[in-house]
Amino acid sequence: MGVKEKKEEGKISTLLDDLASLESYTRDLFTFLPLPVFLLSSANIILEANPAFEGITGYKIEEVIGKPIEGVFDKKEVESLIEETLSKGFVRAREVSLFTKEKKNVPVSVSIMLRKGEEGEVVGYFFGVFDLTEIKKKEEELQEKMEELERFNRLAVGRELKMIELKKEIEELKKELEKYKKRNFG
Amino acid sequence: MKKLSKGYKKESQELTKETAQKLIKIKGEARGVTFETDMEFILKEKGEEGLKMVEKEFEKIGLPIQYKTIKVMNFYPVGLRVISLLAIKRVFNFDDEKIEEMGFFGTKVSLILKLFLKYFFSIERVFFKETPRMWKKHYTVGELIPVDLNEGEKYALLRLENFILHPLLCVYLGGYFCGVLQMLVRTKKITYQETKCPFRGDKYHEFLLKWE
Repeated sequence: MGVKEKKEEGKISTLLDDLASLESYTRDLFTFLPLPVFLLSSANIILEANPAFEGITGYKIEEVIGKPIEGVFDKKEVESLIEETLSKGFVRAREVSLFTKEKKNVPVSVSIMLRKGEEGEVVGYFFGVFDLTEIKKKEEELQEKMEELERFNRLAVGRELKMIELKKEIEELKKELEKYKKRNFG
Repeated sequence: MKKLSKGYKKESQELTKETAQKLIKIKGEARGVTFETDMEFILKEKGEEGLKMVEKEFEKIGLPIQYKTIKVMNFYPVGLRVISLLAIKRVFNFDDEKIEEMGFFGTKVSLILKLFLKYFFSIERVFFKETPRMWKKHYTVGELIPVDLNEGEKYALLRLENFILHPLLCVYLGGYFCGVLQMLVRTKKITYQETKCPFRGDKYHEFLLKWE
């Protein structure tokens, strides 16, 4: 092997090492990401998903990749979001329903970004999903507490008004008594 | 996914030192990604312990390979591709259906396939233009040729030439092709049939893929 070939081989080897490092970095990041993310094709088929997406949907990776989007989201809701993504290039934090493998309805917030190919053609969409279950639960708890406080407030204010009423009545009775005393006893 | 054809010429499914030596001498290379997808399947099905069991099988035939040291983008002897499948089959007693499942699963985790996802907006584009390129990104031998695609009748025909390794790999590839197709068409059922195969006396492999 000549010097030139050796140099070329060295370069290829370096490139392969760099590629392997980049691949490992991307995979680790994608796997670690606690936010469910997935890639949707322009034919509305899920092409890639991270473990967090497996977690929220209950589908295994081999079950969810290749699945049409309407198997996981409401078709009409997603179609409208995609239309908006096509015109704006992105959509931020929209509340939709996600359907799990166990047919559970999970409230989520989705953000979408358009993915374009080398020639500017639409090749798909990146989806980021945020589970709203805990927030919704806290919201409900908060709502209950607020209603409870309102009930208590109404009760307390009612009692206060009653007291004022009673005080007034007592005052009037006192005055009546004074008048009576003056009239009869002098 | 269902394989419709059976009846291959009897080919040794045994993995001995001699078979391994023969396989390793076959001309051509396979990218590391093909082994990585095997590893991911074992980890999913059998965990780390399963992976160790397969690696022990490699040791027995004098090839102390560790899946995790294989670099996804590097090139390895193509015969090793068959050795990996034979070792997995032997250790876990996998039948053809499970090997097809491995192929199908491979498409969901393959890094090289991810490089092609940007073309998955059109089945025609992927089938006619990208299929031969996809093959070249995986193997330095053999040619994958798109023969026919009929979206109305819902079938596709692929031809694989100059790639005679082992019938077990035909089964794996059948599953793999179904996996790729499933990412392009909206269907719940995909089947394949290997209509021609050099291990049954044909000149090349031919895979007929159908969906409903």
